Amino acid sequence: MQVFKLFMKILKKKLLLSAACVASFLALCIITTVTNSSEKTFTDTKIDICIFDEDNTPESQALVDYIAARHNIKEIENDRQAITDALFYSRIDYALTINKGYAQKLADGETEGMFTDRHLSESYGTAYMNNFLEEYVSCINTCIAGGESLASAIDTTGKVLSEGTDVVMISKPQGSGLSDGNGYFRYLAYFMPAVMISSLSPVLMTLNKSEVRFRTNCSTIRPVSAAFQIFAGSTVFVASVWLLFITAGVFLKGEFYSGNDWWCVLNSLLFSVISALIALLVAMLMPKSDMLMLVANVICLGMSFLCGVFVPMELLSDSVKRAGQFLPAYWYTMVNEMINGTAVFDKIKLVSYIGIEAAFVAAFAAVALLLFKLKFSSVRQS
Amino acid sequence: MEQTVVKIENLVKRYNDLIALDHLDLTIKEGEVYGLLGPNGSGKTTTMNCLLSLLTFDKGNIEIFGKPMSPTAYDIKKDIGVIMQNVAVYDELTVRENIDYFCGLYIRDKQERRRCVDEAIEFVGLEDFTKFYPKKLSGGLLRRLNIACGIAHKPKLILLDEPTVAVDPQSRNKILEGILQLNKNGATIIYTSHYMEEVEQICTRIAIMDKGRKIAEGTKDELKHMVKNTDTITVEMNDLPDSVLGQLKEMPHVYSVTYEDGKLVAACSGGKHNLIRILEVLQKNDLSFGRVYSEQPTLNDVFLEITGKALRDKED
Repeated sequence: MQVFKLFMKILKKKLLLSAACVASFLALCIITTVTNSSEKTFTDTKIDICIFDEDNTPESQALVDYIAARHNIKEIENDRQAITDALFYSRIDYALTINKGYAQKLADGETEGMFTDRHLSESYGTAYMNNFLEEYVSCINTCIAGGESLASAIDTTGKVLSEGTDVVMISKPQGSGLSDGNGYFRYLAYFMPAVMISSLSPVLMTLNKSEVRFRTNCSTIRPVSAAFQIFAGSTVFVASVWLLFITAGVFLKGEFYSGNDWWCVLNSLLFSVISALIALLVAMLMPKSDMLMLVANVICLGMSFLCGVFVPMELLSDSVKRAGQFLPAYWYTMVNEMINGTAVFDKIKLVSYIGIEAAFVAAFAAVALLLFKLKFSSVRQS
Repeated sequence: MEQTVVKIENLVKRYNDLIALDHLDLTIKEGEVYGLLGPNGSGKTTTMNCLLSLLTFDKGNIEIFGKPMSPTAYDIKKDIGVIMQNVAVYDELTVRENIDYFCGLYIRDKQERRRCVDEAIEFVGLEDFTKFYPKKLSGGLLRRLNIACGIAHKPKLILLDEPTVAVDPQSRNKILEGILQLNKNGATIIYTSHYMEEVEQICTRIAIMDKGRKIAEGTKDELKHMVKNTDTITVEMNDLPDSVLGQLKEMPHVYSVTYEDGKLVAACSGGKHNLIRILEVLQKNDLSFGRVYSEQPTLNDVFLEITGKALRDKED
């Protein structure tokens, strides 16, 4: 097992970069798990507002009630200094004064001078509230123009605007598994090739250095035995990294895998093998290790952006998706999406996607074998 | 009777239209330091690669230790050591780990291997550097490590392919002494180089190669006797009249005389006392002269005379 031991010794020297990749991935996952846990459904934003009704009419009271039903009403003394302090210390987002004559102006179809508003800056909340009031007044004006009385128009507006819009989240996570929105398995499509190319490729390149390979070929070790030992070393490394990710996943999830999670585990295993084969091909085709990190970034980032790892699949254009279908990460992501509920779960499709990944494994392995025969055969033709 | 260690018969290797080895025959006996001398591209390294079964060939036979050599002839390979021109070690391993690794490709037994590694380290004088990584070693020490990796398993046949390229003179001498020591210890050596001085210094028998062919073979003295030139006499002098130059050209055994840049150069073929006779002619004509020296023919002269070209470029 001389070559196997050599593999491990060289790997030990190259592990620093790999460890950095793994650590950054796990750190990212922990952060996303902690911060994303509560943002799983859509709710209307409510802003904190204080209202001063100087008109004091049934129409103005209707507006106050309408706002109160949708936002948080805060009681503030109607004093310039008190309002400024409340805005400064963010106790309120908006101070609205319904000016005297509001009801009359509403009846006359006027829109100027109805309100006086105060806020700190042109914030999101300010724009939202301005739009809210404009929509309310505009709707009443439309109803009056349509022949309704003011009281009826206010009623109608209240009913019309209370009809909410159904919002469906594009990536709606189901269940609490790691296949969900925190992206543990999704981001693996970026990190696994990165770890493999940064660690496995340099080891294989070192072992394939022409001078030392020449010396090895002159020795009594059989090429098949040497290749098998390198294969064994690579397998141990890939399995270790994969197991580390899977074990870390259990800790992040807080419970052992169950149900459909196992599909994700199988999917990640297949993708780990694909990543190792990509690293092998990179090692065979790269003449020098100087450009290795550049190549790793091009492959990992390129594949991630084309295959819906960083940008959700739904947001990708059809042409990008078509291009992505030629990459293994696309099918890896498709499997994950099906398992986490973003796409419709269809077992036949799921198995076929996994089959496509297996086909990638076979194709990459065939190319690697061919390259090995052409470039690294112990007996050369020329 | 000395056993034949290497026998190459009628070896032909073609790269498309280029004939790299052209019906090459070589026989190397046990205990020899056999030099393969030739310019770049003459086929030395191709011969080595064919010999090690690392390269296929079109025609011919190769036998080592009386057995046909093949890529799977591991019983032969175990007794062969290879030291190449380029240093072939792992930068990620220490000196000791490197030697141990390459020795381990031949010797499985841990204790025996440890002994062999210790002896190899001692042989090349790297005792103080066993924990150093190759990048921390000087060029000379690196070459010594390269040699240690090739000989640690105690091979009976050692192939050295230009092991002193880009090595300082001190390290070169150390390496050459080491090679002679290995030969004394019983190893047969095949040494390729285009440094004729080295080949002259250590090789007991030499083959001169050009364009894939062996154009001459023998001991260095035998090779020098193959050429017309027996000695070249150089006389430094300020002036040489044409009449005297004519007299010198008429002398017996002098086949070429030139006078350039204040130097009279006379190439002689055979005969004795050529130097005395030339000086007598100069004295008779009242010509004064400065330094006088006579040189024996070199292997470069042999190569020059056989092929009509120098063995290596002057800048080498």
